[in-house]
Amino acid sequence: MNLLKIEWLKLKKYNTFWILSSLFAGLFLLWNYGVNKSFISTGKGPANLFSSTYSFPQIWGNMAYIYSWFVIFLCVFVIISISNEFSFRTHRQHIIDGMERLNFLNAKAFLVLSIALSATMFFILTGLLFGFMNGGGNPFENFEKVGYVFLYTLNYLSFSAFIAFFIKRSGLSIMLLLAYFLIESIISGLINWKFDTYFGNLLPLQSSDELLPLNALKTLNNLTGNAQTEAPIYLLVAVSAVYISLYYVVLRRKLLTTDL
Amino acid sequence: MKTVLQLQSIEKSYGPVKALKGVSFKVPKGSVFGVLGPNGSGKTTMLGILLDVLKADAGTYHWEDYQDASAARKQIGSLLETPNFYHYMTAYDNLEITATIKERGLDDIDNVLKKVNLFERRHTKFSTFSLGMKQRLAIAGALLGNPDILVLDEPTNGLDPVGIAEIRELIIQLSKQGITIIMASHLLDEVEKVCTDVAILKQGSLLSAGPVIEVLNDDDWIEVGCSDNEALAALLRRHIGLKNIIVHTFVQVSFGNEMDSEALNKYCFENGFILHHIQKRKRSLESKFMEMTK
Repeated sequence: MNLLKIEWLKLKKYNTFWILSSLFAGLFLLWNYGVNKSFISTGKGPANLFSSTYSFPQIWGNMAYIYSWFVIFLCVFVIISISNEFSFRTHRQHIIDGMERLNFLNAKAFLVLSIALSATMFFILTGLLFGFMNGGGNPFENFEKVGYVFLYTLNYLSFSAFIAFFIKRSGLSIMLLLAYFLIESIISGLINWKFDTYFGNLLPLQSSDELLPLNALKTLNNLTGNAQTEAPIYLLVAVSAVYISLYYVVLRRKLLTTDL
Repeated sequence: MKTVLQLQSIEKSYGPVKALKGVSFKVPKGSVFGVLGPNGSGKTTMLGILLDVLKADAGTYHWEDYQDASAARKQIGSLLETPNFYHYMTAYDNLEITATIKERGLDDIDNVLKKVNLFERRHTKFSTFSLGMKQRLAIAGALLGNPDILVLDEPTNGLDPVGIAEIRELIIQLSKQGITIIMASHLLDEVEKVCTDVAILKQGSLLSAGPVIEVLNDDDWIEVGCSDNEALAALLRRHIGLKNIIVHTFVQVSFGNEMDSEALNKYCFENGFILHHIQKRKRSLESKFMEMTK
């Protein structure tokens, strides 16, 4: 708890944290409102890939896809937060002041976990808000999407932290993250196409992407006969969890053995 | 004498460069222990290893009276290289983080800020501080919670003469309270004024360690001059009791305790040299240091 307290002391005075959090929350709310009211769309009728169905149980899946795009704000913040420690050399100062090296990593792990939990809670609250605004239904039907949202967030934030610990510079880390999004998409598509398989969907970020698909696109692919073999959900969940653990294990080894 | 810190054969390399080559010494409790050496001698590397920001390739160190190194560091006040704080936070907020990590000193923040004359600026952002103010804040962080041991790397770096004098006085006061202070510094006259013990490093090797009075030794120097200093120097070099000789404007000689000023004056006169200048000088740490590290 002391570790979280230390991280909170840094966050509460950091304007960037409040700005990025507000952008994430505010824009996510507005965007969902726009999709729900159909003034944000990709086209009319069947050409509109954003479903405006915001009632239970469809809302969880529809909103989850939208949510997946907004996580980038949180990824950027995680990168900045960790890069700052290296820029200000406060990572050294923490150890000098008596923090164990592993606890420095654990503090950031707790920060990532806290942000993932908070973002998921916000997702739930937003879903409940729009869900009840758009009529009744069972809010707990299709609720497993919330679990996928949490796993997706944790994976993306952990990967961002992983990059930041190695690169140590916020600008370069953010660019590398964005580049990696594209690179992984290309490699994933190539593997799936070349080998007619779904193994390309088991790459680090893709494994979580597949948990929050764009439902309309899947329907379209089914209709046009372009449907791809899908990885089973349990496999995607397990692989995502393995990657999250792997980031931690690698960083742990790095922090315990290298000079700061 | 009780020891607070023992180093045993510490080695550290940066690629092909061997920064520390098996350094061993003990720091007595309650001492003001100076770590001296030219640039690149390994002082900061050694302190970095003690504070766990660097990993030694070989050797061990042990803080007596503490369970482990992390527990020791929480009780030690440290300043290593540059002041490291969050630029967007105020002096007070930064020290609040330091105190929270150390799990002590939260009620001591105002007090330490007053000691380093930053109390009026406690709610000012670190990014607006001058170099001297940043250094003072780092010293304040080291003083939080009344540590038993202080480890200071160039504590007067960036300070004006008034600030340097204040830090010297602070160190002396803390030493009188029984706090052990380990201090790396280039300012030899400051080290000479405050240190009780000293370790001298050169290119990663320990040249000498021990009480200042032993490392300095008791040799007094006598400075003599006549109309022909070169001939005088040649005469004195032939003296069997000569320990050291330096020829500048005058001839500086050291005979240990074997020859005093009167005896030297008589010896020169008996050999045809009339001295127009003779003065006794206490050997300074600087001259000893320069001689040892050349």
